[in-house]
Formats: sequence, C-alpha cells, structure tokens
Amino acid sequence: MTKKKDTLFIGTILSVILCITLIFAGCTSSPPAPATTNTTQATGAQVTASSATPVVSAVPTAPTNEKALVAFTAASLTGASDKIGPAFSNASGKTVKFNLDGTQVLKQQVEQGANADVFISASNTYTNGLKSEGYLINSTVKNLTSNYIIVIIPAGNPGNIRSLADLGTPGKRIAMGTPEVPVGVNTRQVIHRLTNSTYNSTWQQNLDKNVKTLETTEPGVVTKVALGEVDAGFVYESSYMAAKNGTLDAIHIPVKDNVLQVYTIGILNSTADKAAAQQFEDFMLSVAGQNILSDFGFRPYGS
Amino acid sequence: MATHFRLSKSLGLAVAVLSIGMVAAYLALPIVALFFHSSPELFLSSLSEPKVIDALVLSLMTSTIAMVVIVLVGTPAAYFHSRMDYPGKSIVDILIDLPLVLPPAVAGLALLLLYGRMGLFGQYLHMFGIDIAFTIVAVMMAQVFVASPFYLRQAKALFGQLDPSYEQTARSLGASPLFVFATIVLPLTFEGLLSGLVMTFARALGEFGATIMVAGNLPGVTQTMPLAIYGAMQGDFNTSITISILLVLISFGIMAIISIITKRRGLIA
Repeated sequence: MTKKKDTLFIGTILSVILCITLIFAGCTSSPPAPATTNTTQATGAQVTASSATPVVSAVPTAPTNEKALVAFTAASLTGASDKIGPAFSNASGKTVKFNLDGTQVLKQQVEQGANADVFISASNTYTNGLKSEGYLINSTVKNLTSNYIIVIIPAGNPGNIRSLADLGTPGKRIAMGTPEVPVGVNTRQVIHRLTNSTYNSTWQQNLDKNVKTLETTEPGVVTKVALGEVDAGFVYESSYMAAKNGTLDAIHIPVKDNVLQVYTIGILNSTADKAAAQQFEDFMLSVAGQNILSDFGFRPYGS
Repeated sequence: MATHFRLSKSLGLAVAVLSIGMVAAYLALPIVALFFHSSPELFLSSLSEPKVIDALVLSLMTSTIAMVVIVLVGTPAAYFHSRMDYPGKSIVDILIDLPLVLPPAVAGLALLLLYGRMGLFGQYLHMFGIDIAFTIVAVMMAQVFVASPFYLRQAKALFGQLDPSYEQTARSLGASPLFVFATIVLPLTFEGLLSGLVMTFARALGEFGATIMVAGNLPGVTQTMPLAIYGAMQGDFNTSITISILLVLISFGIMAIISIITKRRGLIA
C-alpha cells in the first residue's frame, strides 16, 4: 500500500478504537436517570411485525406542561385504551400514552431498562416476577380487572365448529397464543382441564395438531380469526364482547374448566412522576375506569 | 499558501477517518454486544434445544428452496427482460424493485389477503383443498417475494451489460439459444449471478415480517430462525441470543463467500 493508504488505514483503526472506548466509558457511568418518560421499546420488538407490534396511541388533550405518562399495558386492553386515554385526560388534564404488547414482551422491556410509569399486567407470574426483581413499587400493585377464556369463530363459521368437541376433529385450523403470552398460558390450562373433565387425550392430541399458528399477543389471535384464516381461536371474553356485531361467533367454556385471569396495575420504580402515575392508577380503579373496562367486556375483579 | 493546502488536506483526512470509524463502530458494536452477552457454554447448551434445531433446519431448507425457485424462474425472466423491449417493460422494472421498498409486514398481509383461505386467489384454491396460508409453502412464498429483487436486479444488470455481439456471433455460427446461454452468457456472468444469489439466500433467511403474517408461527412447521428469536426473546433470553449468534455466523459466512467470489474477478458487489 502507498504511504497515504497506510495513514488512512491506521487512522481508521485508531478512530474505531476511540469510538469503542468512548462508548464503553459512557456505559460504565451510572444508569440513565429515570427522568425521561418517552415511550421506549428497548428490546428488538420489530416494527415490521404486524399483530405483534406494540401500539402507541398518543392522546393529545388539554395543553399541559407535564410529559405524558407512559403505561405499559397488556395488549388485550388495546380497544379499551382508545377510550381510557381521552377519559383520563378529561378527568385529570394529564396525558397518558399506552405501550400495548404481550405482557411477556413488556416485562422484558422493563427488565432491559425501558422507562415507564405504570404497568398493567395480564399475568400474576409476570407481575410477581417484576415485584421480586424490584421494578414495581409493590405497595401500589392492585387488582384491576379480570377475564375468562373463550373460543371465537369467524362469522359464517367456515370451519363448521359447533362445539368444543369439534376442536378435536382432525383437519380444523386453530389459533392460540404462544406458551409465553398470558392468554396462551391460560389457554393451555383450560385445554388441560377440559381434557380431564370432559374430553380425552385423543381430543387434546387432535386439537394440538389443529393448531396452525401461535400468536405473541391476544389481539393477534383475534385478528387471525376475524380474517377467517383459521376456524377458531382461544382469546379473552373481552375481545368477543367488544367485537363488532356479526364479525365473530363464540363457544363458551364452562366456568369450572375455565381460568379467570386477574389483571394487575402497578406503578413502576422508574416513574418520573409518581403522583401522576398514582392518579392514573386511581382513575383505572375508580368507577369511571372500571366502567370503561366493563364496556369492553372485562369483568370486574372482586365483585 | 503551502500551510493552507496542508491544513485542508489533513482536515479531509480527519473527516474521512472519523466518518469511516463511526460507520464501522456503529455496525460492528451491536454484533459485539451479542457475543458479549452470551458465553460458549450457554451457546453450546441451548444449541441442542429442539426449538433451535427446528428453526435452523426449517430456515436453511426454506431459504434454499426459495433461492432455487428464484434462480430457475428469475434467470430466464431477467435474461429476456434485458434482451427484449416489450410493452410494459418499465412497469416490470418497477415491480421487480417493489419488494425492496415495501415493508415486509405489508408484503405478508398482502400475501395473506391473496392466498389465504378467504383470499382473492386462495378461496378458489381452497375449493380444491389447497390451503397455502400457515404452511411451510407460505414461508417459502413470503421468502421468494421479499428476496427475489436481490437476484433479479443483479441478473438484469449483468445480462444488460453483456455485449450481445458474443451471442449473435455464436448464433450466426449455428448454436442454439440454449447452447449460447449455457456456454457464453452464463460463464461470463457467473460470478455476479452467484453473488446476487447469495444475497437472495441471506435475505430469505432473515425474513420475519411477511412470514409471521402469512405463514404463522408454529415451531417445526413455520417458525423460522427470526421468528424463533422473537418468540424466545419473550421467554428464554439465552435461546434467543444463541439463535441470533447462529444467524450472525451464517451471515458472516455468506459475506465471506461473496467477498472471495467477487475479489477473484475484481468486481465490486
């Protein structure tokens, strides 16, 4: 190489080393102060994924100097969040932004350093995990609402599913959640209970073979069913209740075999505005918040 | 005057070094972080998990088949497209570039709405008992859709740059078109086609958005490596890192192959 190329080569290496050193120096300093309440998606939640994309709905309201609250919210509350945002703004003058995704994804994001104010979880396991890991302010964790599992069917019933037994007929197409997403955890529990109480292992094996896709969020399952691309899907009752008339049919699961998922709401330690976060939690637990949830098919907890 | 000249020359050098350094660091460091977070023991232990093996085998198999399909159909298509002038040629040019600018999720949704059971085309296929969505076929169709531009554009350009007089001379001497293609066109364009082919394979291997929409996400059937990473990330972080490292190693292997091939002929990939 010529002398000029030599210099360039060495210079490039030196600047690369310089950059690496600078970045490591930055990394070893104290973790970023939780002053930013921007909506962050820390881990690789691909924006290109559709049904699994965390949806952020910014809610513009009365002019306020404060930054918007960030609520990491279980995806099954996607529909309800459209009403909750404006209602909360009207009541408090504050804005709330929702980061909607499977609870397992949101938990990962918090653990990887994402900053948020409130965490609405669809899983006791994940809530307990966050509590023991110190991400939640334990005293603020309260039960919010609840939901049963239901089987939904596309309008017109293309797969001719008339009962839970038909789910075990070979050749059907079923959608359900992944083993990690709360709706998927509960679905598997429900199937297990049904197998033991009513059906048999052949039914369960056939049902397993009929599963064509595992979705990472509950709305993802709803979408696949609504599109008619699968014959049935295991989702939350709330999604069926809130669906437009005529788009979905459902087969109810006996309560004794069903799993009642209790959602929790809690304030994260990384919150920058605990008072505002508390205001939002209080709103969600109040009659106003609970009414919105029940409008979207959620069951009250406790009553 | 001499001082002024030296100052601007070293300034240019500084800008060059800094900008190249920044680019190199920005691209290299995330990969480094991936390796830093794991350890050889963790990597090797999760390597044997069925989820990882299933995803690896499925990804390699589907990407290879997709690549073969693209080459078999795309080579004659690119050849005739570059040699002939036909009505609508400019539209086909746009169509070939389309998957490059279309977000993969859009591609997936569109494929679902076309080939799904309720789809424009799929509803007729369904009547014959053929269902494409949520099968391994759908994985390959999604891969073909998003990866084809990488081969088609390269092939198109290569054939276009080739002086047609070679082929014309051979034809005038009595060779059949196929013979001409095999003995004259292919050897001259082989390296370029190969590098385009390898890029196509890499793109098919990494496809996520379209696959998850039209093929679904079922381990062993339609859960390719990128989907497995996304799913594992939500439960078992270590598995997701292992699969990511696997993909990085495969990608590096692909890059190495390309650079060896193109360096031999002095082409810039």
